[in-house]
Amino acid sequence: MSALAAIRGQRGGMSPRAQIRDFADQHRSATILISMSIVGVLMSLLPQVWPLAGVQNKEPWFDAFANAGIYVLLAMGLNVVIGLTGLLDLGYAAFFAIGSYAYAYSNSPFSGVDLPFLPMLVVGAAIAAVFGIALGAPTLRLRGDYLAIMTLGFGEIVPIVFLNLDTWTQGTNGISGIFRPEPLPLIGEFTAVTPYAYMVVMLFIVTIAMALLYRLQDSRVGRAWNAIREDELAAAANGINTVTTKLLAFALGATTAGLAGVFSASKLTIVGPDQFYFQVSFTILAMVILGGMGNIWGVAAGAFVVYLLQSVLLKQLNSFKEALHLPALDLGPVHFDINAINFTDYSFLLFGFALVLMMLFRPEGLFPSQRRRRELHIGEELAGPADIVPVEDPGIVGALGETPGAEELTGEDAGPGAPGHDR
Amino acid sequence: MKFAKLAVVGAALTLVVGACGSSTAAAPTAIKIAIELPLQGSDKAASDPIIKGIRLALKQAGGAAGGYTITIPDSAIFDDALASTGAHDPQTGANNMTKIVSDEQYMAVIGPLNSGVAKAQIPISNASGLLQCSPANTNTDLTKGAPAAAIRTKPNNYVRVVTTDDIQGPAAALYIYNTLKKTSVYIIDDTQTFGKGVADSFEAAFKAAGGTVVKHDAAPQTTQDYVSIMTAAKALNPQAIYFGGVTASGGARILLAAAQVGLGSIPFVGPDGINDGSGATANSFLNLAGAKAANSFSTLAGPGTFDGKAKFDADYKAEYGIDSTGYAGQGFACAQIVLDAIGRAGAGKPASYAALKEAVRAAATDTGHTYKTIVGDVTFDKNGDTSQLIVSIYSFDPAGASGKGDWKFESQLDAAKK
Amino acid sequence: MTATSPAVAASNSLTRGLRVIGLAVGAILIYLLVLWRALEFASELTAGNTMQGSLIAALTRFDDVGNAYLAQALQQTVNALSIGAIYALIALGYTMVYGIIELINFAHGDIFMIGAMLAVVFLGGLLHQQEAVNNIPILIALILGALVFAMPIVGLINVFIERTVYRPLRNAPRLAPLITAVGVSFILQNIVLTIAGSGDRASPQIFPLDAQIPFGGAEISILSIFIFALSLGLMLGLQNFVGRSRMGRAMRATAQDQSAASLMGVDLNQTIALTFLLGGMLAGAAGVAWGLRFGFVRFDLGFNSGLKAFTAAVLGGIGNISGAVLGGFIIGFIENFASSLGFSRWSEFLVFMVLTFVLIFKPSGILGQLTGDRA
Repeated sequence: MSALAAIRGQRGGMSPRAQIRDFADQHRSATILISMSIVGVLMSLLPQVWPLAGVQNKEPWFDAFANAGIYVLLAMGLNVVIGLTGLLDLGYAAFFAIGSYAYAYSNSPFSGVDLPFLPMLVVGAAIAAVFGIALGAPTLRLRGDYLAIMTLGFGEIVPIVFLNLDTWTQGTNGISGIFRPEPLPLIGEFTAVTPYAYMVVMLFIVTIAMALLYRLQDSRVGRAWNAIREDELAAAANGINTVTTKLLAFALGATTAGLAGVFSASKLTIVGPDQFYFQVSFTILAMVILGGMGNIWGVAAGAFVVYLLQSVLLKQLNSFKEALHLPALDLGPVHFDINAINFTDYSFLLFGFALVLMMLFRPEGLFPSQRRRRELHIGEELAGPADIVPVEDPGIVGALGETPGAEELTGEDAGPGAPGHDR
Repeated sequence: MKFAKLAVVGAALTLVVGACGSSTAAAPTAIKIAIELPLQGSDKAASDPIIKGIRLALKQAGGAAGGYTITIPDSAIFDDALASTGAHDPQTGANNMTKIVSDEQYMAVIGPLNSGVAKAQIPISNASGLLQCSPANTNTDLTKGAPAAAIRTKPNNYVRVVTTDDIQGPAAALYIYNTLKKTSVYIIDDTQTFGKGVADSFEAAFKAAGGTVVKHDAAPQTTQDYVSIMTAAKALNPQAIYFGGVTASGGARILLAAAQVGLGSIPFVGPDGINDGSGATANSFLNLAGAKAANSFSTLAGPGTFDGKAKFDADYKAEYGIDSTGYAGQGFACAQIVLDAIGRAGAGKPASYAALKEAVRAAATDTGHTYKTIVGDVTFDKNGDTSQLIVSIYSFDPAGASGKGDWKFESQLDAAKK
Repeated sequence: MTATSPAVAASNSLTRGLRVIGLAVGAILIYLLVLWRALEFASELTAGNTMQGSLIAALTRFDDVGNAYLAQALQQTVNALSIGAIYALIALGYTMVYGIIELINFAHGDIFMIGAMLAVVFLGGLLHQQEAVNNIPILIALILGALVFAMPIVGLINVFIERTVYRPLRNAPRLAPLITAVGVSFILQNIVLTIAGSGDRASPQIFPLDAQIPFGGAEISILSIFIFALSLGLMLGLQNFVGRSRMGRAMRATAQDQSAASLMGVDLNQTIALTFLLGGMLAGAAGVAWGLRFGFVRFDLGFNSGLKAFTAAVLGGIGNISGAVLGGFIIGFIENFASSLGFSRWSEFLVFMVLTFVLIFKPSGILGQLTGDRA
């Protein structure tokens, strides 16, 4: 049955929306291809017309889209680790750094080597994957909080190592003059003033990554990840090899970050340790949370929107505010000058608030997966102090709630100080 | 999946079509100059006077040159500092430069302040042929030798009105050795392009003069505890301290730590990175160090006294109400150079913005032309370096800036006269 | 359960106290010795000697040049004590909160930063006291004033955060409060960034920095000793409170078993709020101490120091007060060791390596399993 016929109402009586959803569920990859093609067309044409063209020329728009794509990739990768497997990785930028530096070593005057771009994408991703396994291995026995701190530590160590080994990495100054990718047929050259090629390549990378991740999510591995997230002990008891599954999650997350890193290095032509500090990990975390943990499309959309908000909208707010020429407010001791406010400075403050408010009121994110929404709101069913121990009922979701100590991340509920307790 | 394939092919075609851009081929009338400086934290203290100097020059020129109206709107001022670090960021600088070169109305960009940022920007501005004049970059690798060649793919587009660290560092070294008569020095740099560069050239010159360097330490910007480092330095009994870096990367913190461990009475010397305003300027070196800067000295990679200085100071004060500091004069000079180049380029009546841009670049980097700038007569060599090789030395004047402390001009060294 | 007589209990705690003091003094002396020899070793290496030769020289050379290193080692040890004390104070906040609600309060480091900022506001902004004060009674009064100003405010901010952000999420899956804490950390940092700007802020160092005791060729900074003593006093006060008072007992009970504690009549909300209050107050004191010692504060001060303090808490055994103190000093000494030998750039790396090894090989921390109570 051709896809066209399927869409054309041969499913008897379903609303078009449901039909599309049905089609999408059954033909994931095709849906992704079509959707990304549409997105690509939109991204190419919209910046040339109003209202986007009024804000800035189309080249900066293409540039912004390409940069947003980097964050989309990063968010999708982190989603695998946090959203699917439930491992709170706070040092994700480390893998981004490894991918970037890998490309820098292969394509710069500093190293004197010039390797082709497309193979380097694969190689850089592979190197990052290896590090993903290496950095993930010590964390396997750790519980949620400790995992977070350990990954945070790694996320700090990697840039510090790059910073301090200045004979090999040029330290703070970073590696600059990185060679851009060779021109591709039909798409054009990769230069600073024509970011169009970058945008197209990024589209391809995101499409492929998305298709891959969706397939993984629906495979045995993906279900194993979900199982570990919900109850690690039960998952292990059911025969899932938690070690390899978790390592695979780390590896896959690192792979995506490595891809993003290679692309970012080839676009910026400069890598330095200050591009990979905790703010970056935090930003990606915020994107994943805002977008909707566990939902690949949600996370991608969240990352895209957040990046554009931060890089374009806030700056436009500045210009807008300047154009308004609002007077400064002077009420005796209180002096409030709206013109002195630079909105871009506030992006992290807004991130922080967004994160906190999200966690308080809508932890499943803006575009949630239904499953996660149910899971995350279970805690709200409990009323009063945590000393009530309700009956666990896996069938009726959300009705009675779970034991207070049970976590989403592991099945353990005792503190670390309890004797005889293995992390 | 025929449908899917069709969609993909269609999209690919659209993408290719979308790539075709168009640019206006109209004759230029109104043009802009971009300013690219760090505008946050301690770097802001150094950038503000430069912007004021630039605007003063544009105003005095009547906002026009070569028959074009020239403006610097607020949107033409780009900030390469990050709020999250309070300091300049090369990546942000590169992003800004990408935006600048994509707007055809920009005929030149003045900036950046920091050599590390320039290193990331020059490849971009050079590839697009946009004139870039820096009022404050002093790192030698930007114009000399193999590193400079590596970041330029097209003819040179970069000039600077200050001289380089291979002159600034030794100037400080000679001052400490000959004038202050100190023979042993402890060096600490901030590991960045500028800081390390100037500290290295200082070290070489100091040793060549006959002095000893007890230790050359490096502490990145993120260091918090300098007291332990300075305790170790104290044990080596240096007679002076040389800091390579800017205020934003720890200059004042190092001085405070030095004072704490008992090294507060020996001379503390730094490059132009700490000469960023008086004690009244927020976040400047003198403001953060307070009275502990009593034995501080700094250098500027430009003349401290020049023929037009009195008039410049008066004009500046009349316009802004405050004294000129730091590189304000250099900002003024860069603007003069840019306007002069635009004037000469406009004489040929280029037919398009792109042609004008190239003409401006060619005119500015013309090694045969002598500019009459506020800081003196200047010609640029083929690398973009100025012919004026003057470094001036400043000491701390506690009575300056109404008692808050300011830098006082001591002397200057002209390396061209050697 | 047989009750011990007060006299026996007193002598037990006395011997325990003496033992702790003895161990501490011993550890400090060992560090002094090791650092002294390490300095000797380092100088031999830079002078061009081989690794082996330097090692031998380090172990055998005790002449006059060596004694200069002893003086430096002494000064650095005192430095380490003061920075260790600051880390210990911050670590206590982390460990208490974790012990009671099993949450890593990422924002705790930023609470410390707010304390430091408040000290600047009080001394510099309100009292306009920028310079060192030589008059001892006035100095003490000023420092006490700064503490009294900063500590309660910081404590109350901490309580406020707990009330508005952490309490609603007390029963949520573990990921939620953790992520929220990260968000709160960024909010605090950026609020301060907005108000105070992104550059360094000079902090009035009212304690005279040249007040030093000459000892064996070294100049021991009285400020460092003062900070050490102040922190020790606060820690002992906390230990006393948690160990002996009713509220302290409630805290320990809640840390052990929330449900049982509430069944025994402990008001959970109040106890948790008190924990946050105390943790915040200690962090506020640490902030004042930091300002006095280092002379500058920045909006991002909390992130780095907070991470190191958390490592200290984990190192010592999270949930364990003595562990936090021990961990804080160990981390302080490690950092100081790195700085003294000239590789201060690697101190963070070292700290994280320590964290990694502790988490892999002994996740319960040094004192984690030894003491039964976790408060």
